[in-house]
Order: sequence, then structure tokens, then C-alpha cells
Amino acid sequence: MNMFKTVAAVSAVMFVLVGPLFGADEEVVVGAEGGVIPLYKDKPYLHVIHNGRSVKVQRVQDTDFELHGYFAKTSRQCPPFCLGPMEVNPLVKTVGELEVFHFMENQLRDGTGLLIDARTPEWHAKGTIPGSINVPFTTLSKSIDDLEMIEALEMFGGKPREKVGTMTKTLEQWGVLGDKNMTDKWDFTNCKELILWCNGPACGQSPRAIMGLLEVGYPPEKIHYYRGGMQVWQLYGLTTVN
Amino acid sequence: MVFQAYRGKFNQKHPFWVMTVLIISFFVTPFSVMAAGDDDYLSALNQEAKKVGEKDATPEGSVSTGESRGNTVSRDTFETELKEKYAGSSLFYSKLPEATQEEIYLDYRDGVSISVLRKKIMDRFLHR
Repeated sequence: MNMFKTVAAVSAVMFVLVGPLFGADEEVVVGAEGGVIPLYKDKPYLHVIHNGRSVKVQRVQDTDFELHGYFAKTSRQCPPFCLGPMEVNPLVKTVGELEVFHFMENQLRDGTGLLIDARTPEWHAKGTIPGSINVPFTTLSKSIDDLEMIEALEMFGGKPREKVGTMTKTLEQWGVLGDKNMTDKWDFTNCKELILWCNGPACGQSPRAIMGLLEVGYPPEKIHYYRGGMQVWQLYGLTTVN
Repeated sequence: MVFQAYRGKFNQKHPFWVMTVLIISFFVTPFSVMAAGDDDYLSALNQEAKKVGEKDATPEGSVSTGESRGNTVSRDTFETELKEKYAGSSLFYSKLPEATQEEIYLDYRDGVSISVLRKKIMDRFLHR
């Protein structure tokens, strides 16, 4: 028994000392500086304000990590959870993770943009992308006169307009007055830039929300669609919050 | 002429209100179908949301393995994975007392990274 312990102890010491030489494939060092897996080149992490507190957004640092749980699933019932196209609308830009990171550090930080989790509250409660606010697609699909839609548009920086006279309307149509980001009922001149997202490429919630916003005249150049959504965000081991 | 004759017969057989109901349903039906479609989608979404475990999401600000996440993984699965991926650590783990093995497993379940766990296995084995 003692013999075994001695041999095991010697083996253990050898394992610790020599192990790294043989186990290089197990402990893969990624990133230029000391094994940090960055968000992207030269950007190890970023901070974003979520519900009034600062959250560090980074990737899982273990290269052996494998995704488990709901978002590791490859397939869901289709319909309704069918793969959607890359574009929701030709005028709305589709973005990837890097654009979301830049958005978090710029538009979110200076208050000119909002990251919108367009899923229903049940989904939002089970985890979201830091910095996001929950405005469900059910709200953004409502008519322009609906109170929920009005509140959402005001939160996005839109301003309700007084009744527009025929003369003003005509001049606006001719381009003499006003801005192209004005409708009969809303002034979207100073509205915020939005990134809308949901569960991923097979999720229809944010596309529906985007269509709803376009329907009420929200400027398409101010809307972005993060198609990867929660599934791709988690696939890259990026931080989520509950 | 034929149509007028038919309409006359139809009006005789069916009172005015039948025509009204038919016309109203012609306009209302598409909206009802649309609303039903939305309800179906919402209901499917709610059902699907129930499948998501609250621990599925990446832990906030985590630098851990993430393997811990949702570690509803059983101890057997943990031990099998350890054996497959880290045979050396698995060997030393198997020599540890039951209570220590349990402690390592609980750490794993709480989100401690695999490299920290491997070091802990060695430390416990060498009584450090």
C-alpha cells in the first residue's frame, strides 16, 4: 500500500512537472496575451450597463467548453421555428457580434442607441444579452394608435406630432418642409438607433418586431437586425445575464 | 336575366339577415384567421420557453468553463468526461476519498473551471 502511495506521489509530481509538455493540446493557449480568449483581436472584454450596474462581457475562457442546454439544440419544430432569411427587409442592416460589441461601447454608452430583446417576457426572464431591454415583438406589432406602441416609440426617441395641416403635408411631400423621417403622426428625426434580436436564425420574434416598426414609419436606417441572437451569442460563449 | 331570376329565388328563400351575415363574415374571417395564427405562434413560443432551463445562460461575467452551466450533469457523466479528456486527473481523482470526490464534483457543478479542478485534484491527492 505504502509502495503504491510512493509510486503515485512520484507519478503525480512527474505529471505536474512534465504534464504541460505533453498536455499542450489540452491546455490550448489562445490569444496574444497569456491565454486570454478575447472578444476579438486586441479586445479582451468590454463593460456594459445592465439594469444600472456594470457587466463585463467576455467569452468563456475554457477551450474545452461545450454548450449544453436548450441553445445547444440543432433543430426545433418547423413551422413555427423555421430558419429565416439573412435580411428582414432590404433597407434594414443585418449585423453580427462585432457590430453588437461596437454598438454596446458607442451608441449604448452615449444614449443614442438601444439594444432590444424582442422576445416575450418569458424568454427574457431566462437570460438575456447584457445591455438589452425587453420590448416584446407583441408590443412592436401593434397599431400606431395603440398605447403600448406609443410608449415604445416615445422610449425610442420618437415624438408624436400635432395634427398636420394639408398645406404642411403637401410641402413635406414636396420636400420643402420637414425631414424625411417624419410621418403624419410621428417625428422620428431624433429617434435612437436600434439593434433588435431574439433567439437566433430560426426565431421570428425580432423580424416581426422590425416589420412592425417599419409599418409605423420608423426609419429603416436606424434599425439593425442581429440575426445570430441568443443561440449564436451563447455558441461563442459570450456573457449572458438573468 | 338568369342571374336576376336566381337572385329573386335566393331572396325569397333566404331573408336579408342571412345575406348580411355572409357579407360580414367575408370581411371578418381573414382577420380572425390572422389572429388565430398569432395566438398559435404565441402559444408555441410559450411552450418552447418552458424548455429553457434558467441555468442555460452563460453566467454573468464568468471566466469559468461554462461546463458548469446548467450542470444538471450527473456525477457519473462528470467522471466519464474527466476520464475521457483528462485521464491523468481522472486516475488521481479515483484515488481520492469519497467525500473529496463529492467536493470536486460539487465545485464542478458550481462552475469552477476544469483547470482549477485538476489542480485541486492534485492538491488533495498530495495532501497539500
